[in-house]
This record gives sequence, structure tokens and C-alpha cells, in this order.
Amino acid sequence: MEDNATISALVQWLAATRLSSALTAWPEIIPLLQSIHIVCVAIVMSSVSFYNLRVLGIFARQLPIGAVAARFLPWMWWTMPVILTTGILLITAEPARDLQNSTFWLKMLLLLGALSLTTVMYVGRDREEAIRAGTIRKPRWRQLVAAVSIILWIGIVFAGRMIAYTQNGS
Amino acid sequence: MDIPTLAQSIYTSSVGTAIRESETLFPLIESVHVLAITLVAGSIAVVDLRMIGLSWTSRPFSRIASEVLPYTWIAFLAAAVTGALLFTSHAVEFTQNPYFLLKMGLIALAGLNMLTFHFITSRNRAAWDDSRRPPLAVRLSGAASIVLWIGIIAAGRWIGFYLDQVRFGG
Repeated sequence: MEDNATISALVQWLAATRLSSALTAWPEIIPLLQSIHIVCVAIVMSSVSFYNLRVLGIFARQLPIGAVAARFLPWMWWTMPVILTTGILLITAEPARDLQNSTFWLKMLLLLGALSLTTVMYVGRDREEAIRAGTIRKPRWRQLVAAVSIILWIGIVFAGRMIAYTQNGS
Repeated sequence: MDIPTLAQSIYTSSVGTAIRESETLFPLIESVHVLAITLVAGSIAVVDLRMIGLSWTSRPFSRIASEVLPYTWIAFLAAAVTGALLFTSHAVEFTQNPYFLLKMGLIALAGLNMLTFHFITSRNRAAWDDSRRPPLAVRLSGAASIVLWIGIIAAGRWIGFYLDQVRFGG
């Protein structure tokens, strides 16, 4: 990614935009955006963790999975746009820091995987009632998906912090 | 022993030296620290939002607290241990960092808020445990907790920002 010509052109173009200049005009803007980003990560991490722990049968077992999903997953979906907005603004402010950094792309890959798994689980949530009613057998794959999801989200937080340490030339 | 001498001896300790001199230890411990903080703030917010009467009001407060707070405590323990390890590596710099002192102050206030709630405000818990809108003192305590934890995250982000400003002159 570091040597990709398209990425280099994108980095140069982004760095030359008025928005990029505006975001770097005042040094405190970046930690402010990062703080909002991390507060949102706190909401998403906790929401997906409690949901996945419920699927694994560890958290709030006496509640149906659907009830735990209804409490936590909307918080995840409604926080994601803020995470993406602050993330895009941070990229615009310092494009080379992220776009020419393989840790950033690893984070995006893990995010894609985690969001896909959460979507797959969410789409299949109606089956939970049938499982509870004993109409169908509880599929084991959902627990595996929940465990993998938790690992992916932890990886996202790790990669996010490691971006600062894997910048080119630093 | 005064604070600068103590900080200096922590800095030169074998643990502090090992973390400081390693290429990977500080970033790895810091990643665990960020992960733990997001889980503390996010999980405690689940309880805070119930205290304010904004979320999961269909369930009794005590139920949510007993299900969620064990995870908060595990995450807090992880955050405290990793935070202490990070501190040892740059103990002198941290004690001179205003945002580090601010973060410690905010954590102390969050602890005080929790103790006040636990020993004073929640004594009549039975009267409002099922209430969708708990009394004002309970709602204020929940709101204070959310504000304090957002402040702790922001102060934590600013510790690193301030260190960079001091080290590289911004």
C-alpha cells in the first residue's frame, strides 16, 4: 500500500484540500476528533461485546437473544456514522499517516469482517424465537461467529492504536 | 520521599526500564489499556443510562447493575494494571503532564461519585429500582458518571498529544 501510485495521488490530493488545511490549522483539532472517535469506539465495543457474550451464553442468559440485540445493536449502528465521520476527518487531516500505513488497511479489513459478521447474525436473529420455542435446534455456528466477532473487534482497537506507531518514516 | 524522587526511582526501576527500552512493549500495553478503557466507559454507561432513565428502563436497575458491573470491574482492573505499567516507563514525564494529573483527578471524582451513590444515594433503591425515571439524585449521579468517563478518555488522549508537543515542539 505504501508504494501504490493511486494511494500516493489520493494522499497528495487530500493533503492539498481546504478541509485538510482547516483541520490542521489548530493542533488541538486532531486530539479532539480522536477523543470523539474513541468515545464512540467505547460505545460500539461494549455494545457488540455484550451482544456477542449473550450469544455465547455468558451474559444475561435469562433474557432472549433478541432482547439483548434490541438493547445493544442500535447503539452500534447509530454510532458507526460518527466513527466513520471522525475517522474520515482524521484521514483528511493527515492522509499519509493512515492511507500509506499497512496497519490502517489491516484495521479496515478487520472492520469489514466484524461488520459483516454482525450483519449476518442480525439477519438471522428471528430464528432465535424458534430456537427458544424448541422448533429448531440451536445452531452452533452462531456461537463461533460471536467468538470470532469479539476477536475481530479487539483486533480493530489494537490496530487503531498501533497506527500511530507504524507510520512511514517515524 | 518526595514525588520527583519517587517518580525518578519508578522510572529507573527494572519494569520501567524494560518497557521504555522495548520497541513493542509500550504500544502493546497501551493497546490493551485503550481496549480496557473503552470497555469500562462503555459498560458503565449502560448502568448510567438506566440510572438516568434513558435506556433499558423495562428492566430493574439492580438487575442491569449486577449483570453489567462485573465486566466493568474486570476491565477497570486491566486498565489500572496496564496504566500503572505505562506510567513506570515515563514516570517523571507523566507527573509533569497536566493532562495526566487531570485524568487521575477525573478518575478520583468518578470513584467519589460511585461511592456516594453506593453508600448514600442508593440506600432507598427498593423504592425506585423498577421506576422508569429514578429520582433526581440518581439521575444526576448517572449523568455525572457519563460526563466524567468522557473526560477521562479525552484527558487520556491529550496526555499523548501533550507529550508529543513537549518532545517534538508540536
